[in-house]
Amino acid sequence: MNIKSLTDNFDNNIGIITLVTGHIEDGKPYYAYAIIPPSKYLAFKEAEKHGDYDLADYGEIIAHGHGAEPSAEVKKEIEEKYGANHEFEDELKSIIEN
Amino acid sequence: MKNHPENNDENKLPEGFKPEKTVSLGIKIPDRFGRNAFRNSGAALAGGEFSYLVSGLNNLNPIREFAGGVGTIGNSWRVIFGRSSAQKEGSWEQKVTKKIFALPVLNKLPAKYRNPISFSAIIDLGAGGGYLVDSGSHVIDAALNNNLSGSENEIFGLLRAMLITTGLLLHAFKEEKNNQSLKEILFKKQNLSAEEKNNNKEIKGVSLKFKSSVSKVAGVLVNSGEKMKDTGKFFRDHPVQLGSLLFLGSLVATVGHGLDPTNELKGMDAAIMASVVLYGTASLIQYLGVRKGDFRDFENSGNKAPAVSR
Repeated sequence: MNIKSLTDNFDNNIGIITLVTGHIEDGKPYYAYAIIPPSKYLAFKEAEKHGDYDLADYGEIIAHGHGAEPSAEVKKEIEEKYGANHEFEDELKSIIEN
Repeated sequence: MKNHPENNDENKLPEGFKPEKTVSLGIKIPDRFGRNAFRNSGAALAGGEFSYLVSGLNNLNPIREFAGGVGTIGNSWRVIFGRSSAQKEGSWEQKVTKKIFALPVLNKLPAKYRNPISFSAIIDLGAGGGYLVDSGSHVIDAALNNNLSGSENEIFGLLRAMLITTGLLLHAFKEEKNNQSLKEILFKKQNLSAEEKNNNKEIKGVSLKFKSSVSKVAGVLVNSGEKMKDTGKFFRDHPVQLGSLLFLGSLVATVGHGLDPTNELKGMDAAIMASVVLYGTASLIQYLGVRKGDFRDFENSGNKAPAVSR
């Protein structure tokens, strides 16, 4: 195993599950789930700072749809299929603060 | 992976989608490494199969008391130690800059790993991964005595650096509990003169102590009984637990990253990246441990304290 195969292995197996919300051209709210590989995460965060980026450039879109947030059904499916936790940030913050 | 059924299109967002808010939902990892173990920190700390791990970490008591970070001063990478409690008393940066040391081993890492993220993860592993070191003499031995070459050596160098640093920090943490400051541990025992300390001899001082600490930690661990002999087997049989330990270490990385003034990432993003780095390390340990037989070799070596060669 060399360094490249190691890092490729990370990208192929690991990803940060992300829920991005925003609007589409007609002004209606829209959401998208993406899995950002580690090698692109820094670039993703940089793009996020500046806004108006193409999410598909940074990760794999695994689901998307209309609405300010996904339905409970969609959330459940994403959780079951990808191991996502919609309370992840709150739980982590709570642990850190306590 | 494919879209949710509610979407008729392929994985293509509608034209003109303008992202506005991002929420992280955790790390997607393959099931073979125990996705539930890594899914989020809440699950890891909630108890159940991980409760004993948390208990082990609490016994060492490093998690909430220490934080670390890494940055550069000039061309040299420096490790920043500090107490989280110091943050309440004033500026964290002022506090930690009084405890900056250089660890030469970090400069020996492959260039691509010389960044604040992996370094901080390495250092923070020392705090959060204390339990790992406490029962991981086989791993330390493998790290100290490897004779790999080429790309394998390069990869193993990262692991080696992480584990050596972990050993150093664990030793320092234990000493700190005996009312010695980290500075005392790293300098006083070397009998360095004040002049030496003031003439930028810190690197030399730490380097010397570095060897001493690793030797002591490794020796103590190796000689501490039957429990150690089974450690390698335990982690081979329970790779998820090993990974979980590393993940718990990443919780500490959150603090370290967030407070490190040189780090580009803060808070949640830093925590996520640290988790990824540590997860990768867990994978690496599993890979090397199984493929290279380092754990097994050590178990068959008579369980002697390893020689420290650097």
